[in-house]
Amino acid sequence: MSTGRKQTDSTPQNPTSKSAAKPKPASEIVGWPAWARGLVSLLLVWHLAAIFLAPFSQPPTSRLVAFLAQNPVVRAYTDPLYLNHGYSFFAPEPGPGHVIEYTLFDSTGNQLETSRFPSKREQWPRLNYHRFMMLADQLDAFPSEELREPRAKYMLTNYALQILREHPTADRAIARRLVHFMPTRADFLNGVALDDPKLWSEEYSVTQTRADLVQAEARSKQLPRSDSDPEPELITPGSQP
Amino acid sequence: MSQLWQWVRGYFSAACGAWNDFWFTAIDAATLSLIRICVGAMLLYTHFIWTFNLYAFFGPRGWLPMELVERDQEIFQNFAWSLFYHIESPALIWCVHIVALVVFVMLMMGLFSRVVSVLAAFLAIMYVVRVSPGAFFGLDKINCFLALYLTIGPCGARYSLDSLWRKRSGNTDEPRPSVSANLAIRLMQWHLAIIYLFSGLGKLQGQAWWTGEATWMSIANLEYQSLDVTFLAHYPALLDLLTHVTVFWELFYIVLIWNRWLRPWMLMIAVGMHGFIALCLGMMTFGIAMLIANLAFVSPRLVRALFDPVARRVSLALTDTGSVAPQSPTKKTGPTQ
Repeated sequence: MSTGRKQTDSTPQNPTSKSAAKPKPASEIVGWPAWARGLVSLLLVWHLAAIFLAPFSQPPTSRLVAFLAQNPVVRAYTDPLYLNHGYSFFAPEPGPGHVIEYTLFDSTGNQLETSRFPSKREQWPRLNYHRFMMLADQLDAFPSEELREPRAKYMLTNYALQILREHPTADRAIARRLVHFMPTRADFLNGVALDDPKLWSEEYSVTQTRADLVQAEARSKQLPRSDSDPEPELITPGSQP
Repeated sequence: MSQLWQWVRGYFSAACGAWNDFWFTAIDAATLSLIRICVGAMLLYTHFIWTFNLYAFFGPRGWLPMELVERDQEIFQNFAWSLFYHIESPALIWCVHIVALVVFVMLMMGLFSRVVSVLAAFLAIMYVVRVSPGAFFGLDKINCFLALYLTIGPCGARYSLDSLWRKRSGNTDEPRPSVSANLAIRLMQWHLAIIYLFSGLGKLQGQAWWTGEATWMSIANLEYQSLDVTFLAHYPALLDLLTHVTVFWELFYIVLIWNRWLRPWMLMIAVGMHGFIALCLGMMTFGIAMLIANLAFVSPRLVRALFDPVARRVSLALTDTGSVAPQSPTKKTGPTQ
């Protein structure tokens, strides 16, 4: 297997052979004139720098890299092309699971149902389930410590409103975000199950009524934030997995 | 002094030659064409799944209402833009969705590939920008960067309706090696290597990736779990090994993948690691998308050895020419080649 260069991709050579590493003179390269290669080379350097600096600039990072990657000139290129990301897959550590649990009540206060998402039973196929898992996971995936909780509650409020939209008979919804920790390997071997009740805890909870839903439909902005709030950090939403 | 000058000149001359050789050598577009089929299929499936909850995710109110998007745009000072920011009507959102699905089918089939690849990348970005942050994940990042690089090269040169059309029009010439195909493949390779590098560097910040517990923490997460492999708890050395191999493999991919002798081993580990994630951690689509990206390191010769016989049969069945038919005196080109 190789990258398939036309002139150099014949039978594998001895990797110690000098000829294997010897660069081919530019004159032998098929195709583009020098000016076109020069222009494209500049674009390549720009693009490679942009896609390298974008994940490098995800927190924690230095001021230099944050400036280089997150200044408006670079972001005018990386944001619209969806290149401004971290790639922290399961990093820095595989985190706990998150679930949104909601309870619905009718207008007389009777409990209608309690359900959860993501739900392997209700969201199928798996990619559909995964989108709902991301809704629960990314509720508080926000770089600013100070804005994290109000934003998480705002998002949870929106989830509760959406649940009311999808359940026309319900008058009130209580939505809770639960964290589901994993047992350690030792605990698991000592008999603690993966869904042991001790491994669950509640983080946020909101209650919304149908009257709130009617008001929300008419509102334009809702996130609790005042003029005294700190200036937003120059951080992109790419730090999520 | 003159010797030093000569050495400097020689160094830069050789470096420029290597740069030209790396980026501007014309290659066969077979690998790029195979990636086009896979990316088209993945984009189609990824976006078809949105069909189940289209308006709830892409409408102005729903799981991620526009008020939230506007607020995030202000806080993040984001330059990203989505068509869905401006569409409220359910009918219009459904129209865009149907058009997008048709575009992804056309990309997969290789019909009007050059134009369709641009449309596919544009639409894929439109979707994911609307649900970021909130409902996106790694799959979307991989889908978008692959779709973006498909726009650069002749991704419909082989294994496509475009090539069948060309043959049916009497042009039975083999597609010429292409510099832009090489550029597209090289960019995919570098982008993937950078992704692995920063994925590995990110893991170095976590203690569990040093202590070997990270693999256990991944398979013990019930929300991710699709296949129960918690019996591995009885084999701690194996869990430690899997953890360490993952970190080292990701960190050194950017160096070792270029070596022709190590490349097959690196790709085999990729298949093992992403296969494990796909089967056990419930991310089949993400695992497959990463493997599609790894195809960029498979040579066009190998791709042709595997897929040309199939393509020839299809071509013979549909055009009565195959790829060995006599050349027509009046050459016509396909719609997008």
